[in-house]
Amino acid sequence: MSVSYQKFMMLFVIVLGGLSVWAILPTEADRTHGRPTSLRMGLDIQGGLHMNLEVDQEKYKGKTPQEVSEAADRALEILRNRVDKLGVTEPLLQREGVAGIVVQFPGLEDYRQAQEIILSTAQLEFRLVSRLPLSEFLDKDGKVAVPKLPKDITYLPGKDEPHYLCEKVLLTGEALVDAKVETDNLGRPIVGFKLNAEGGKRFGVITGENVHRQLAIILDGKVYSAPEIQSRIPGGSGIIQGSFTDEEAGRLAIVLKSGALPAPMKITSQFLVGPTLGKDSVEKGTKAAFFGLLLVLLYMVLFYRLSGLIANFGMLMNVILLMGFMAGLKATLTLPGIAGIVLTVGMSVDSNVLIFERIREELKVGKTVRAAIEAGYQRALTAIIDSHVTTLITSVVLFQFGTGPVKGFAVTLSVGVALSLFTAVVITKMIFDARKEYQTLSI
Amino acid sequence: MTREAGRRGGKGGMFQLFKDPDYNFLKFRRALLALSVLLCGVGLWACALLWQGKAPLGTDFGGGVLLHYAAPKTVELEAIRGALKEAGYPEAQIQQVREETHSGFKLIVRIKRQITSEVGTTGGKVLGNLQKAFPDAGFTLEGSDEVGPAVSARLRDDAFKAFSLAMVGILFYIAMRFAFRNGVISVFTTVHDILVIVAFVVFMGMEFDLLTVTAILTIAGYSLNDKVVIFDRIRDNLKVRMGEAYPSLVNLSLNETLNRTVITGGSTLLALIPVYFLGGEVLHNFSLVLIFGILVGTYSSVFVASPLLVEWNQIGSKKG
Repeated sequence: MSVSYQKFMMLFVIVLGGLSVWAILPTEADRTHGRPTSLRMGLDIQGGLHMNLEVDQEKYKGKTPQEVSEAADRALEILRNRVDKLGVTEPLLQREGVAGIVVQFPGLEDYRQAQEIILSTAQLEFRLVSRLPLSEFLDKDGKVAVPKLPKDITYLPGKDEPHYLCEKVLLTGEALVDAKVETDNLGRPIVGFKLNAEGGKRFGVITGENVHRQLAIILDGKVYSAPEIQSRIPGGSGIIQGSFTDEEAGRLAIVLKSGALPAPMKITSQFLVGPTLGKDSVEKGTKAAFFGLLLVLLYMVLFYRLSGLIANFGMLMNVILLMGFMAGLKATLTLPGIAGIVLTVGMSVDSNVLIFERIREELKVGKTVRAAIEAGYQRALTAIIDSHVTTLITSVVLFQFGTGPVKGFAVTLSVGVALSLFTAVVITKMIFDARKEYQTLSI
Repeated sequence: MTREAGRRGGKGGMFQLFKDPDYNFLKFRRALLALSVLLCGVGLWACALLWQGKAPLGTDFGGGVLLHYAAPKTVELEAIRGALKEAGYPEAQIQQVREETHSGFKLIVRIKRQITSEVGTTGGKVLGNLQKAFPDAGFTLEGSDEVGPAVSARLRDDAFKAFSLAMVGILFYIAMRFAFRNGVISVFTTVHDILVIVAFVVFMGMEFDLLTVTAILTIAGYSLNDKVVIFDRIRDNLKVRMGEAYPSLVNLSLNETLNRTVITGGSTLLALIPVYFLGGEVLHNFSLVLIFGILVGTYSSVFVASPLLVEWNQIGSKKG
């Protein structure tokens, strides 16, 4: 091997290592969020809320798979909008399968707030409250006897009062262009809304024709308030009252403004890792992994002396480059991902064990040190390549077709194994080649 | 001169486990293969138990909820059981988590009900019930897994599909690089290892969850790697020692790779042992499955895959 190639390789390794460390180190933005590294941690490590949502096909009946899928596409856009306004750091929203959406909020503490924002269909409706006397339709338990109701009357529960009998829908939230939190003259939070030109015109007609009747403002099938219309309301703006807390009003404004979901969604699974639970497992896992690594480093030196040190350097480079690539690719490190790293380290060590055992065999049959090193590397190479390719096939297929944790495992394993060929073979050989003449070999 | 130096370097400093080993690994191969068939049977039985829901499945595969609560004050478990029963969760299993590092009270609640409509809300509901029943304790929700039935079925199918595809890929690659029989035997032995691990998980009474699947995939990777190394040595020896009987060639290859087999297995075990003892609740079972799996994977390279090669060769040569 020529000297210039040797120098080039050394420079390459140093630059690559430096870049990796630079990629792992926290950026300004990471520091402000209190993160120790720019490597992204999965929710199972750093804590947070993970939800798998799906179009509720029991409620969204008789649709073709394509319609369901399109509804989920639109729902994703609307949810993005809502989440943006919620101000969560680095949320992740993704479509999954025909009808599914994955939502991840890293490090979220107030999970209930997020849940309500996500799940609210935000179907806004305006209906007139029926003039029929409610008392005639109550059974002896005080519940509304729905079958007794006339056809064009709908029973709806209320937020403050239990029952409302409403007429047909006059206007929906589709006409809404803006919603924000305001306060009434007593300082209580209310939600003010504004309709588009056409909606505003219709709102004017409706209120003009029904002065002194109650107009029910309904969200997701629940009557929020039903004020009496005092006079025609021009201009298309109005307010929703409903004895809100500040938080509730804020949430309502967000969901109204970002629009209604095209189909009702349901949670199919949810994983919540509180900040303390996550932190605890990270601390223990890190400590344990550190000791494990230390033992392997010592073990290699015990068996292979100075050559073991060279193998250790290759292995550490593997881990550093792997972390660097993960950070650079903005991939997420999860607990199963750490299992992938353990297997990678195992394979990296194995490659060097294979090489060193071959070198020993060659030394035993009486080859010179230089020749033994060359032959050892060369003869171990087929086994190393075949075992790496085998593992790479497994991990790439798992990455392509696996979901969730299986994917997290496959990411680190694919990258790690690909790197291991370089770190365990090329880098260690480069170090052996740094010295030309060997009298003895510490192996 | 250089020759002398080489020998000095080679002998003086070497720390070797086995010096020129010459064991007969194939002596009891029929009996050991029979044992493996038996173990596979046990593994299939364990799979059937999991399938029928008779062995404990984790919430991710079985559906239901797993809730973590914490409180600064300790509450009697019996009282909690009573409160949850009254709140409409008579089947709730509760367990106190004891950790030296944490002051205060930690509680895990498992409800194995097939939840459908209320996925995502059970954690909050149970928290409400706990706070109402024990207002002074100060319960908070630390974490929760809530999984509906459709998801668990899909997760299982996805993992199974991905794994099957990977095995087809392996079969082709190894068949191409070695021989068709090596491909078949690799896949077969990997399935053997997985069945033995499933049996271990089920009969140790551990919960079978997605982390278990990750551990199994890790072992499958390790085990294949181990087989490929031995196959490589056999391939090598086939070229160098033409005319030698196949069984003795396989046995020679096993002896020649023995140091590597033990050293690599040992280093991987060494990395996992601290994780088992210090890794905390989540990693404890995970690393135990890995440790057991490394042993199984190493065993099957020497005592399952290699004997199968010999048997296959004998059947083939009889026919030919």
